[in-house]
Amino acid sequence: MMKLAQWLWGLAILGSTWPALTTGALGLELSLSFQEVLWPLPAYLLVSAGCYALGTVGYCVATFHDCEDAARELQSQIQEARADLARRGLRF
Amino acid sequence: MATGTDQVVGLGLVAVSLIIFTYYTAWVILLPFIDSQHVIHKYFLPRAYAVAIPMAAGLLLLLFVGKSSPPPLDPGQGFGRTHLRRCFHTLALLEAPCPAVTPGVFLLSFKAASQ
Repeated sequence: MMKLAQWLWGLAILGSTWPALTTGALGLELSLSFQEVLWPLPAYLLVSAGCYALGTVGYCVATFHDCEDAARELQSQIQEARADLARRGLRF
Repeated sequence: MATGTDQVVGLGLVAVSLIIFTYYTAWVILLPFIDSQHVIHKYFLPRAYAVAIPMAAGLLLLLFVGKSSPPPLDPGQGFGRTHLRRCFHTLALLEAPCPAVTPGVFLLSFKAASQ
């Protein structure tokens, strides 16, 4: 519940400051380049979150610890079990 | 450490995400502060595309996930054929009325769990 509350707070704060700044409701005189950076900001945050997710997944895939001995042993056990069951009459 | 194709795919994903992130950051954050006559503006599309392209890509992704269907299950001889076929049909019926993201995600997780 805590994490959800934190995310909702963050979204609420962003969701109120960004429209307020882009529509000029606060009456601030922002420089043109600052406005140019401001209006695509939600899309930018979404894209960077997506890139972060993709990068983390890729990194975890690349550094995942394989257990090759255990994999080979498991495969041979599967073959044994299939042969045994086939001998007892179960059709695959 | 992971071996072979796992490493290649993983590092490829990392590289792709870094490339997309740096290009997009340069496009959205850095470009407005660079003089409009500079040559670097030649390498970037007009600014409106910085929002339009991710939005279109996100929509396509949502539609694709919502439309994904479970693979055809092979009942085999052990189970009763009708039981598994009924489960499969129920899943397909669940998916049909709500072409939204949630059933697609649910089906994907079910497919992953049943393998």
